[in-house]
This record gives sequence, structure tokens and C-alpha cells, in this order.
Amino acid sequence: MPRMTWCAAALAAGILAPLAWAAPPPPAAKRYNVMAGGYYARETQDQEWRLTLVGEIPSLPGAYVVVHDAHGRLIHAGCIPQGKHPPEKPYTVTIKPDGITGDYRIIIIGHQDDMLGLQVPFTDLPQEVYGGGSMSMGHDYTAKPYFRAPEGVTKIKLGAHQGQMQIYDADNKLIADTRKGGGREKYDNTIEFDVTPGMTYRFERQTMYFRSYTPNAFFLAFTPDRWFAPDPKLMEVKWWELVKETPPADAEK
Amino acid sequence: MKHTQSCLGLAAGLLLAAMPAAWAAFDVRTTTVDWDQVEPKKSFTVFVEREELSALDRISRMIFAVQVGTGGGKTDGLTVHWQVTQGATLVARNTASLAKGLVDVMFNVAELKPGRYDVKAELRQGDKVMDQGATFFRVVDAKPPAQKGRVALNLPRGAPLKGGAWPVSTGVPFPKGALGSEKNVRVVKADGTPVPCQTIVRSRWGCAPETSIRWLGVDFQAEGAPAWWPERKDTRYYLEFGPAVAAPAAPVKVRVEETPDGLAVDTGALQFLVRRKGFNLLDRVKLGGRDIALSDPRAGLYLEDHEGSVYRAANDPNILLSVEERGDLRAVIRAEGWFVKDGSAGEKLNYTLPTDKLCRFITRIEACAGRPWVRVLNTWVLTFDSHTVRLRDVGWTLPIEGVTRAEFGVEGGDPLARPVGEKGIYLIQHTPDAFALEDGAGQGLAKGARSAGWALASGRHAILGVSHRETWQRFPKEFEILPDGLRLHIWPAHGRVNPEIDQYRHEQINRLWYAHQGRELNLAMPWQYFFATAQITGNPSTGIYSPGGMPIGGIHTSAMGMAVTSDVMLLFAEKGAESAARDQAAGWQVAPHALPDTAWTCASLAAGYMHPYSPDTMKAAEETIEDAVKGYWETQDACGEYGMWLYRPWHHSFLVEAGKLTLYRLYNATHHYESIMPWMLYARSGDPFYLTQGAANMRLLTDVQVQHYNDPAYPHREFWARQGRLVGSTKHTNGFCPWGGDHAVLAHLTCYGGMMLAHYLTGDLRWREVVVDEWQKTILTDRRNPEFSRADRTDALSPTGVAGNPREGARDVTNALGEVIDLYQMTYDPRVLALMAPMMDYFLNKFMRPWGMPVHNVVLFYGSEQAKKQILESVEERRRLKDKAEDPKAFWYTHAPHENFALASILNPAGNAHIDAWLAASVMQRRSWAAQIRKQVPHATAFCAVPDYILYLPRVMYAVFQAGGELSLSRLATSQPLLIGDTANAGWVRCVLRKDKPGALPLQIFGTVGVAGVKVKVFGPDNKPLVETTIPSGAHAPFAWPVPDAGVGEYVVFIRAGDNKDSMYAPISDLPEVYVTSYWSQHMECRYFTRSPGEATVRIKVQPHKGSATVMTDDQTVLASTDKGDEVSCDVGPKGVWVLLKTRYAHANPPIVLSYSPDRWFAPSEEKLRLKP
Repeated sequence: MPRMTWCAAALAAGILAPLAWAAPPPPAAKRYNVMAGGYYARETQDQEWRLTLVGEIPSLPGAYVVVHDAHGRLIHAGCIPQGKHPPEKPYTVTIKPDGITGDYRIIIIGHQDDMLGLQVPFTDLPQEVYGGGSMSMGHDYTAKPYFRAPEGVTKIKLGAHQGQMQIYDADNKLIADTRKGGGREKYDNTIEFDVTPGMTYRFERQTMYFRSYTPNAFFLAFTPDRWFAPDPKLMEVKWWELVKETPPADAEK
Repeated sequence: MKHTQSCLGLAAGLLLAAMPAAWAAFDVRTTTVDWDQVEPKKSFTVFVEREELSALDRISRMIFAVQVGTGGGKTDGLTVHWQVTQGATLVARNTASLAKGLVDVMFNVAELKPGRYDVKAELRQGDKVMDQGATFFRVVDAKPPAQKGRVALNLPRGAPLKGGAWPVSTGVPFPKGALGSEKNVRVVKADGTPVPCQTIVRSRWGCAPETSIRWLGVDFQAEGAPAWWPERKDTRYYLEFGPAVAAPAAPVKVRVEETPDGLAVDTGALQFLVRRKGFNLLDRVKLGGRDIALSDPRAGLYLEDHEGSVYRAANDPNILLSVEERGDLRAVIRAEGWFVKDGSAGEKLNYTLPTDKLCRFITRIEACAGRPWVRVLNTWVLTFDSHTVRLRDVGWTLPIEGVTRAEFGVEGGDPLARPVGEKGIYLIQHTPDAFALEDGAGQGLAKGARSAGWALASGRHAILGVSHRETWQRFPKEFEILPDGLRLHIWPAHGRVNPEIDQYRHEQINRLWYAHQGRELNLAMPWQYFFATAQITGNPSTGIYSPGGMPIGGIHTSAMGMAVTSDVMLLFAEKGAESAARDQAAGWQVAPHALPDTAWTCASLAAGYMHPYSPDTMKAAEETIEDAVKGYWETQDACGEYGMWLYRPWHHSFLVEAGKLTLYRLYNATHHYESIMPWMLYARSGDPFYLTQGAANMRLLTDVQVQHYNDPAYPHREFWARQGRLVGSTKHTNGFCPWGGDHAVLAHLTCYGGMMLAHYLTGDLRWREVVVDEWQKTILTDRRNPEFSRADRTDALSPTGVAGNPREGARDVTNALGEVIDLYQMTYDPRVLALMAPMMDYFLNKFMRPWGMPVHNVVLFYGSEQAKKQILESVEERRRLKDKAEDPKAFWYTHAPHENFALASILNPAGNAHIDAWLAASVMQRRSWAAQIRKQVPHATAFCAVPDYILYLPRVMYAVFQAGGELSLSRLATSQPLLIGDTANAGWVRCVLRKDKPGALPLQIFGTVGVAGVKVKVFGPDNKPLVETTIPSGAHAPFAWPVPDAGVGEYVVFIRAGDNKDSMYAPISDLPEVYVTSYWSQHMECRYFTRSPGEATVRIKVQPHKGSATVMTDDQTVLASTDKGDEVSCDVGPKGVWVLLKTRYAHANPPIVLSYSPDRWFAPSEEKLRLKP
């Protein structure tokens, strides 16, 4: 595992330490199964934080996790072992303070059963969103996440795979519904709707899989306060090129 | 033909009468057969094994099978009442119980008169008719083949021993009706001297022992001979057959006797015991009656897990031991059981550690008369979870006392001989090009490139040797010699990593080093394979149709169910006879094989319609085959495809650079029916290259790419399709490693037919076992297994069909049909017919999509008139409409249109479809394609395109020769798309007709005209307008318009049609008719003729717009071609040329005069060329 650099001076001064705890800790969130192309977290203050994976990985070879930042630095890469990872004993990777703040992208590679076997949130950072690729939240239709439009985005197009979805604004007004006036892209029922950057929207679905046709515009959070728009530079990072070595756990092979 | 279930209400009941004696003669044997009730829907199947029968078949069979469906109750009390009629005459009738699910009625064909016979049957419960069914068969006249003859048996690789004889095996096919008994054959030398032989029937032409032999296994011992190939002249042996022929007795026989301890074997030179309890390979070994090897209960097969526990075959108290084949010259003993842990009770079975039982073995010991050695064909089956279990050592221990000297064969060099110290000595082949010789302490003694695959241990009383075939090709391997024995390590005990190799580089990643190096055998693919693939391809997608999706499949796969089969000689020699021992060991590596005359094989039709190797008369085609197939193999050599888990699969995609393959669908088991290819090519040519290629592939396919074991408690699922394991199921192409990804038993991706042909030709019993005891057993008796439905892709057979494109899914049913037809001819299990019936119905009445060999097998084996009619009609439609033909049966949804034409020609040689076949085969263009493959030009081909083309070329050649060999395009009179839109003439195309006799001029056009209609103007010989008309919008078949007689001479017909709007066909008359144009369009590919007006040649130049053009002579010699839209030009004389265009637009400079056929061509007068519309 790549080693993180320490910001020894800052820690020694203890300047950051109290600041790290100034922000209220995130609420104990209900956990949800989410499958997405990326899981994003924001570190606003340099701190030690944890990648905490709860759930079950049914596949015998496990699943794989890659964490990087917007500068293309590999923060962590390794195999999540097969088996149950309960809340009281999650699979945890501790990321040491390194003097750098910013956004991170977490990528899980594996079978859908593994990805949906894990439950977000994946970090103990205060903000965390999910988006990209073919997404799913399994069959938990009580999950009704929020999203906002990133800066510069005024229209979003979404697709519900062989199913339906609805978008509500902050006043709970239905602003888009695939059942009413939607379109069709192969197997997806689609909706395209106007959004106002900064406004909060809510998403409901009757579909296992859904996707955004508007790139880098649709990120979900389960409470509005945890939402943020990930640094677009994250999407440019070729994360697959960062993993060059066989992690020690795999090194026997 | 409707052979399956029909609705109630079929008219006319069965006649009630006493059964005449003739009926008893018809009904040879009725048997009730257990048929699992597993289908959700009820059905009643009435099916005859073949539609077309003759007296040569002698006995045939019909089956009646029931599926009661979900909730349909039991089969108790069900009966079938059947009758067979010919016209109004009742031939036979009977009743049988269907309590078991299936009734098999064998009937006598020999006495039946030619004609159609109808079979009707009722399914009854008591007196109540539950269902009815009907089918029919036809009896035709057939001329019996010669009942005696002589067949050359050639030795393509020679026979290795100069001063002795070497056992060889072969498979000899016979035409239907030629040979009834395996006793009526003998082998003779070229001078006619008989030699002892042993025969066994491997397949018959029919379902009963009374039917004639299709494939006969023959064993004999050949004296030393040079290789028959490539000169193909030196035939040393013949097989003679006939009613008066019998083989002489063998002077030395191999004997096998049951004893309380096991099977005692005596070859005359060697005696040994195969123990029933404590199976340790060979026990109590005597050479010439003298004890030479210790009886060691810990000897034999063993393996060691990563925790250091040792498991032995000798610890299994319950092995299955039997004599599988027995004769005077060769006996095969089969032992099967578990590797059981030392010190355990041998009861606990777990897919991970701890377990008492780890892996299974299937060992075949072949003993040959007079030989001091045996063949051991040992299959080791993995039964563990490869994510949690690793192995340190897999080997054979062979005891011999007092070993002081070791000798190791070196390829291309002198053997390495060394004394044996206390700790022994070993040679490890750790890469395909490097071995190390080390003492037991690990001290290096020598290094080299390639082991010759053998080692000798000189003991106190005798020499013990082991010779392992293809050692460096199947690395890593180790030969270890100790003071008290010899060990062959299938996985080395002294394994190592090769640190100089970066396994993640593009040129290395396909070699799967993780599975081929290291102290331990670890079959869990590292995750880094995914990242490396993503880095190499620049694509991180994990979808099934992306490169990254392949290693994801491989990372998630399990090696449980894989196998490794080792082909080994164990030899014994007198002390001091090292030279003789070396000769034997080296001779083993030659792997001699006898092959029947290739023309005989092809003429027998036992391997199907194919023409024998003909380099003199079909030079270009033979060179194309050779370059494409050998180039494929050489590319694999260059890409380093060696290794025990990798020698040698097929590919799907491309070579991208020297030594680098496309990583998307890197390996493919056989999803384009590849695995039969080398065997067909070997059988028709005798080139031993194809035997090497075929055997290497077949061993890998049947070991690594077919599943042999499952533990129901094992929770593992493959990444793709979430499948578990199913015994007998074949892998596909989506796993990066050959054993990764999805699998199927009935689908487009199998080639069990290849395994069968390989067995017929060689007698390899493991290949037969995989087909019969694994695949057949599963598809007939394991259909309730939840994994079965996941591995059965014939969903299209279900009433709801398959989602998406049904034509796409058709290939799963049709390939499966071809496979079960081949299976049936191997085993004649009547239950196979119950599987075949709905597939045949689908094939005939829904889709005939060619994939594998279904069309060929239906035509040759089943003989369906409906299929024949549909093939011929489809070919006619294709000739007329090309790719615009409707093709409702998906007959042209194929990679191999040349096969379709070839089969049509075989069915009707007078129809000239052999010319279409040759044209579709495009042999000259393919010649350059094959040459590029041979030169390993990157992107020369997707490798799956090689079998798509090559598999069916010998069939095209067969069709061409059967039809007389003439390939003249003039004989193909097919309509062509009308040329339209000559921009040089304001869109009018100029057609000139020459009328030589008085009378009206009837013109007609076939085709479709758009809304604007098509204007036509006709000018007479005097250039005055005669008719002006508009062909109206619509489909015309035809639109005719008479033109008044304006005398003899040249008429000009101007036609102005719209590009993309009007699709019409030439010719428009039955007169000499030419089109004169410099720029035109056509709505589909076309073929027109042109020539010089006189004796002097003229230069033609034609350029297809972004398409292809070929100029060829009438006998299809290519003069010029392009597939890139370049201009083609050549000189044309009075014999003329054909211009074939696959393009929408073309132009010619100067203008060109084209006609539908040579006899229609003429040179119009100049004034006709100046006439304006």
C-alpha cells in the first residue's frame, strides 16, 4: 500500500487538530446498498479518515477498491476479502493526514453482487456522494436520495432501465416522470428536465438500474447536507493506470 | 414433416386386426427406457432416427417419448399405440408401455420396399387418448459398396524403432454397408505378409450390432519406418477386409487376469499387478519373470497441499478397477478414485482444507504384447476451491532399488548423465526454453533449453524409465531420481519463480505465468491482471464485451473441475541396456500413428463430405488451408503459448503486434467449432502437423475447458452468468484464462463432434469418456440439476422463444442439433433421439442457421427431403436476390456461405451450385489472407474467422469434384441487378438489344419500382422512337411491355431509374443484350461479363466506389481485384472476363459494354452509342 506523507509540522503545532473536530460529525447514517461508477468523498480539512466498508462480499476472490484524489495520486488500492464485514467489524483502511485536502474518488471493482453487497457511506468524511456508470440501489425502494445540479448544469437527462423514475424539487413538487412525457433509449425510459444549480432535488425510482445521460452531473447523497459536486478533475484521472504493483496480499500469487 | 406432438383430433383410428407375421419381422426389438420427466410442458414425441433409410441400414429405430409436464402426474399407465403404413397398407402395429417415459422400437429395414412410410401413434391412459403424433420415413434404393478391399495404412510420422516393432493404433472408416464384422479384417505388410492385429468397433452406421461398421479401431505393431509424410509414397501396411478375411493369431499376447489383489498383467516381456486396494500404478513388477521393482504401498500417484499434507491414490480403499479394452495385442486397464490424505479415515470431503480427499484420478494403463513398457494416460481432476487451496507437488512415485545413475534426455543434444547421491537429482523444465539440472540440495549441475521428456534411473537390478510427451510444451515439469526410485512431477516439487519475466507486460500477459511458476501451484488469478489489461488497452470497462471484462471473469473463476492428462511411458530394461532404454524413451516422443488412405476416408463419408488433400489439382486452396492453419499455430508459438494450462487453446480476436494478442476474448474454447478443424485436415491429408495441433488442442479442451467435477456444497459462482459447474459442460470465451468464464452443454459454443472424430482416429479413450460419460450423461440424466438450465442455451426451443433477436439465438439450437446427431452415431442411445426431435423440428420449420455442422449432418445423416428442398430453394433465391433475399430460415446468416452452396451442389450436382460455392469461397483472395496469417501480419484476421472459412473449404472442393470440376461462371445463369443512373447520360442507362429474326420484341422487368415510376424509351434499328412508357410504382414479377416489330437489327432501350428508389433486375429480354455505361449504380453486388469486340485485346478499367471489384476469367482465375475502392484494370480478349462488383457505385473509363452472360454479349454499332434518349 502506498504510503501517505505526513504533515508533521501542522500536527505538531496542533493547529489543525482542534479544527478537525470543529465541524459536527456526520449523522449516524442509515446504510444503503449503492452500485455506482464512483463513490466520492470530500476532505475539507486535512485529517485522518477511514475507508469503512460494511456489508458482504460474496465472491470468493473478493472485490477490489481503488482510492485516488484529483491530482492522480493513488491513496489506496487493495482487495476487499470475501465474507461478511458487519458494522461492528467493518473492513477498514485508515488514511493518514497528508497535508492535502480535496476530493477523493473510490472505485469498487467486482461483481454487481459484491458492489451491492456493500453499504454506503464508505467513509467517515462529512460529505459523500455517488454517481457514474450504470447505477443501482438494489430493491430497496425506500431509498430516496437527493441531488443538486453542479455549477453550470441546467439540464439533466436520466434513464430508468425497464422501469420508471420520478424527480421532485425541494417543495416536493413532481418535476419529471418517465411515465409522463418521457422518452426511450433502447431499454431505458428517459426523462430530461431543467435544473437550477444549487437547488436540491429528490429522486424516486421503480427500477433496479438507472443511469445519467448527462456526464458528471448526477451525484446522489442520502441527506442534503452530505451532497457536494465532486471535483471534475477526478473524472479525468485514469485510475486504472495508478495500480502498478501487486499489493502484498496478492503478492503470493 | 411433423414428427412431434400434435393436437387431439387426428382423423381415423387404428385398424383392428390380427398382427400378421410380417409385422413381427418389422418389429425387431421393443425396449422401454427410463426417460427423466423434467420438462415443465407436456409433450409426446414420435420420431424416427432417420428420414431416409435404405437396405444398407438394415435396422433402424423409432422412439416414442413422453413428458408429462409440471403437475402432469406420473407416467404409470401410459401406453403408446403405434402403426406404420405404406400408403393404405398397414405394415405393422403394436402397443407398448410408456411407464418409463420412452419406448424404443427397432425395426427391420432390409425387407421394406422403397417408398414412404407413415408412422402414427397415440398416447393413451387406459382407453383415453391423451395425445397423438405422426412422422414418416422413406426407404430408397441404395447400391451396396464393395464388400471387400484393401486400404493403405500410412505412418505419417514413421515408426521409431529400427530393429523392432512399435504398437500403433488407428481408426479406419468404412462406407455404409461395407463391413459387418470386426473379425473380417487383417493387416498386411506391403508385400502381403499378414501381421497380427486387434480390432474394436468404435462406431456403427446403425443402432444395432447387425448394422455395418462406420469406424473401426485397429491396433498392430509396425516395424521401423520413415515418415510417410511429406512424400506420401512409402506405404508399409494395408488393411484388407472381406467376408473371407481373418487376422492371424498373435504369437505373443498380452494377458490380463483377475486375482484377489487386482489385475495381473503379462505382456510377455513385462509382468505386473494393478492393485485393487492400494493402487500404486504398477506393483510387483517383473521383467522377463524376474522381480525388478519394489512393491511399495506408498508409491504411485500423490499430491501435496500447501500445508504439507500428502494425499495418495494408494490410500483410497474403494477405487473402481476394470479392464476397459482387451485383446491379444493391447489391453487397457482403468482405475478411478480419490487422492486420500495420509493418516486420515478418508471420509471427509471438503472443497477447501482440511479435507481427507483432494482431487480424483482416472488412470489408464495400456499394456502391449511383447513390450517391456506400458503407457499410462493419467487424468488428474481438481476438486478444490482454487481461491483457498494451493498445491506444492503433484507427482508419481515409481520405486526401484539401488539407483546409482540418472540420465535425462535433452532435445537436440546428448543426454545428461549423472551419478545419484543420497539426496537425489532432478531436472526441472521451468520455462519452455529453460531447464535446470540440480542435485537434491539445490546445487546447480547443468542448464539447458529443452528436455527431451525422458529420464532413466539405473537401479541395482534394472533400469526404470519414464518418458512424458510434450514436456517443455507443458512446462513446468520435473524428473527427479532418488536412490530408491523415480518421481515424475506433474507440478514440480522444486518449482520456482522466473523473476526476469514481467508477467504483466502485453507480450507476457497471455502466458498466464501465475499458473505456471512458483513454489506452489496457485490457480487464483491476481487482480493485477485486470489492471494490466486496462493499462494495455486503455479501457477500464468491466463489461462482458470489453477487454477488462475478460480478466474479471478469470479472477472470479474457479479451477474446480479442471483436469490435467499426462501421456507417459513407463519402461523397464535390463541393467546395462541403457541404449535400448533410450531408444524406447525417445521413440515414445515420436507418438507414431497410423492413418488410413485419405481418399478412402473421404469416400467412406464417415467423416462427412470432404475432398482429400489435392495439391496438384487444387493448389491454391491447399496452400490457403496450410498457410491459414499453420500460420495460426506459428503465431501461437511466437506468442509463447506453452504451459500445462495453455497448450493449446484457440483464439477469438487478433494479433495486434508481434508476440501480442488482442486481450478481448483472448482465449476461446471452441466457439467457432474450431476443435474439429485439425482432425478433419489430418484425416484428409495425413500431414502429421495437424495431428500435433489437433492432439494438443483436444487435450487442453477436454482437460481444462470442459468441466469434470462439481461439489454441490461449493458456493462459488462464475462472474459471467453466475454459473456453478456442470460436468461435461464446455467453456466459452469470456474468462481470459482458458478455463474462465461461462459454459454450456447445448449451445453454439461446443464442439463435441471434434472430440468424437479425434477418438475415432486415435482410439483415445479419455476423449470418448468426456463425450459419453460426462457430456451425454449430463444431457440425458442430469437435466434436473439447476445448473443444467443455465448451461442449456436452446431457449429458442421453448414456446416463448428467446428474448431479443431469435435469429441470433438460433445458432445455439442448430449447433446443438449437429452435435447430438454426431453423438447419436457414437452411442445410439435412444434418449438422444428424444432430445434431437424438437431440435430437428426447429431446424426444419423455424431456423436453419448454420453454425458448426447442423446442415451437413441433417443432410448426410438424417436425409430430410424438406431440408433438401429448403436448401435448394434458398440457393436459388440467393442467386437472384443476393443479400436482399428474405431468408426467412436464417440460412444465410452464416460465416460460411460457401458451405451452403457446396451442400446444394452435393444434393443436386446438375444445379451448378458448386460454381457458386467456389465463387463464394473466393479462393484467390483468401490465398492472400492466408499468406498474411502465415507471415503473422498484425490484424491479418480475427482468428475465429479461420475455422469459419477453412472448415468448409474441403466440402466445397468435394462439391466441385463431384459436379465434374468445371467452374465456368457462364454456367451460372442468374439475374443481376439492373445497372442504372448513368450520369454521363443524364441518368439514362443504355441497353442495346440485337434482334436477328422478325417478330415482336417482348420486354419485361422484374423488381420493385418507387413512387415516381421508371421511364423507358425504346428506339428501333432505324433509331426512331418506338415506345415510350413508364413502369409504374410497385413490385413487378414482371412488368411486360411489348415493342412492335421494327425489323431485325439493334434496338436501344433507355431506362431511367432512381438510385435508392428502384431495384430491378437484368436481363429484360431473351435476346443478346448489353449495357453500355461509364458510371452507374446497382442496388446489390453483381456479376457482368465483358470482352473485346474482336481478337485484339482491349484495356478495361473499372473503379468501385469505396467497395470491391474483381475481374476474373470464366474459370474463376482472378486477374485483378481491389477491396479498397481502387481502380482495377486489365487487358481483355475475345474470351472475355467477368467483373464482380460489391459496391453501390462504379465507373469505367472508357465506357464498358457489359452483358448478363457470354452468349448474350455483342459489340453494339457506333451509332447506337451516340443515340440520345
